[in-house]
Amino acid sequence: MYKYNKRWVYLFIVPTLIVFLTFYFVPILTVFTTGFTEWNGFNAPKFIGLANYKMMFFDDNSITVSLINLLKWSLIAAFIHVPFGALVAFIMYKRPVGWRFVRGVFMIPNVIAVSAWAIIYRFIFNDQMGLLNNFIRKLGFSDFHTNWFFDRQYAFSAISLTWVFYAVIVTLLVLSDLMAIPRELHEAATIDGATEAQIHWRINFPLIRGSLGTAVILSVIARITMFEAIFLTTKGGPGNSTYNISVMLYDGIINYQFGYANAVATVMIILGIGVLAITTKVFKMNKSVYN
Amino acid sequence: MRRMRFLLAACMLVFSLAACSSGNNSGSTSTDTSSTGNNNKTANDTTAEKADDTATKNADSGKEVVIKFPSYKTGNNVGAIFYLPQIERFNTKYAGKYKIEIEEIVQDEYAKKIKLLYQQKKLPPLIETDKELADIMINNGDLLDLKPYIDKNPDIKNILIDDSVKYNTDKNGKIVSLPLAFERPIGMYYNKELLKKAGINELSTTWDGFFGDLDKLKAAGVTPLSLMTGENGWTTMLLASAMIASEPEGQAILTKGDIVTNFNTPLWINTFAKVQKLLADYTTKSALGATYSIAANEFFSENTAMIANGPWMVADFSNTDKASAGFADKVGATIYPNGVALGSADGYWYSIPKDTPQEVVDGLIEYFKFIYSPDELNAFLVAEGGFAPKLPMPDEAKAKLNPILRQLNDEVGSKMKTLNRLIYDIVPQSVSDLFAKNLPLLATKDMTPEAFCKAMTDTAEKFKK
Repeated sequence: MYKYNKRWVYLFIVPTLIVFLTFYFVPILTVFTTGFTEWNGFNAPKFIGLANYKMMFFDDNSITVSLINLLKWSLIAAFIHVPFGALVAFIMYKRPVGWRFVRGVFMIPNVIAVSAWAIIYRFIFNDQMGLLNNFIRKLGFSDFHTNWFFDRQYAFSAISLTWVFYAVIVTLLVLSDLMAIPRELHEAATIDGATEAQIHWRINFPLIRGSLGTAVILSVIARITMFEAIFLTTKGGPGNSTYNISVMLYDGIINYQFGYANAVATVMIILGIGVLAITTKVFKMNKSVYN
Repeated sequence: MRRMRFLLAACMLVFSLAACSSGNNSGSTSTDTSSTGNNNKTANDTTAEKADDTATKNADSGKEVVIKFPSYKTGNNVGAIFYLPQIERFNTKYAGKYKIEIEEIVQDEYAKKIKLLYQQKKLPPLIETDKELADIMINNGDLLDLKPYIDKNPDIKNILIDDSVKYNTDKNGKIVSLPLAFERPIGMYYNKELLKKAGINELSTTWDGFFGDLDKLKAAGVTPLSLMTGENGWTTMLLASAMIASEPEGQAILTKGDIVTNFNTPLWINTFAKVQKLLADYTTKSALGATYSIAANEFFSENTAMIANGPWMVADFSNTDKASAGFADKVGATIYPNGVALGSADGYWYSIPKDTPQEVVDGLIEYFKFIYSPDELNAFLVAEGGFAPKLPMPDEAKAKLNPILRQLNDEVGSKMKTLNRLIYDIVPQSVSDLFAKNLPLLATKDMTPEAFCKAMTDTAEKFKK
């Protein structure tokens, strides 16, 4: 009977295995191996050793600029994006007066695709007809002219604004963790005389650190792969102000340097693994929350 | 056992469904009957005689061959005004035999789509490609040789520009894309009233004089130029190209046509110093990040006195959706200082992938014959400007010519010393992209002309093939 069941177990694993091999393992293997080749995407790849990596790290400062921008965006993600999403989760959890309004205002824009937001922001920040400039001009600064996405001073902040307050994933993750906290813990703390603030700092925060860690991982990885918002607004410019590793990868593709693009993709994968490892450590995600 | 049989049957059903869907690999060509052409059939080994036979057979069989391909000359694209009605005229003339269906696509997406389709080996039967992708296709032998068809059709052959035929002929003697029969010089359009306001009756024919005109316009409270730093920086790049073409060294580079990868020379640095001056002192605030539509709109709204562009723009001047009624009457056209006009007969145009079914190839050859017929070619030149060196325009066509186009043609005839390639024709794609990305920095003086040229050189070297 056991053997019979085991056969069925294997049978049911097969589709998952096929999907995993086809859509994850083989592409990652292809990306990794072709990163060592010269490949225009149309002809057979030709092995060239570490030349693509040399080109990436030593031929210009693209990777340096990309990593600096990634670091800045990661800090924004960890210190603004995630806390903002968590704050909304707390509001939803505590349900104060007006929480339904907050839910509506917060949730509706969050269901719009990033690419659509990028286009909307292109109009908001437009120099001539943009909402922001018109508003500033209405305030009395009639000569005000700033093209936010094309001015080196503002482009980075303008791009950051296209995603920083859209944190529905963070909110849902944190809210689900908050709702899973046993009520008995809060009741016991209240009986022991704990204040609302103490309940938050001593009970809620420690118990949701796993979801906060997950939110940071997801948010930082989204910064590594962030493409649509940049491509649809600044394409990485002006200069390299908003350049990132995803645009670097794209540049490789449009210049028919698929081997180089895949070397960049390999670095992206390694960065993702690094983010996962660091965040797991910082948020002690591999330790039980109840210890 | 029954379960196994059921599983097997289910698997077979899934595979058969998959097989059915994979059979539709092209989606780009079809006939209106079930007996479509053999997609695997290669055209390389066919001759024009065979092609004629097939065409005759198709015609005899009475089946209409539907030819479907994407085009960007649709929607708001200025080319759509002439292109789509021309397709309709072709469809009317060849009704029952050939029918062209256009898949509408925006210009920015067209090249990407063609690349993607090429990777998937699903190219449509008619394509326009950039130089770099065309070179890959030519090296791989993936484009149909048009030579036998052109040789077979003297109506086409006799009007083709020799330089264009030469450019489109590969090292094996194959003609890989339809050579041009016309040239369309790119010049400048100006607002006569605004120029008059600044006391300018005629634009100067030297660059120093031109900058003097810009100063006069500025002094009269008129913003001189519509420039752009967004998208591909087109109108700005045209002026930079004209400046390069005005220098003997630059003209030699443009004439040679080889891809340039070193911009760290006085020629390029001085040119971009002038471009920086244009962007900083002689254009609108909106030029920073402006797309073509914004730059054009500044001219249409009479906020600027001049814009550099090709003759295809002329139709827009009398389009009341874009400009006010009567605006076209205020517009004049000229070429650039030093007798420079831009544009060249070389470049790739329409290519046919080599695996295209023969009946579709025949239809496309008919299409080429149609667009190069005297009536259609003249209608095209009347609508979009330019001239066909081997097919002089008849007087009745000249009479229909838009006054602005006529003026541009006259300027080309009387003032043009050289017709030159554009900067974008002689730089790698990576440099074109970087050019547009760094122009805002040049405009705001966050980047020096030296740094601008160095960045272009570095990028060209990085992605050098």
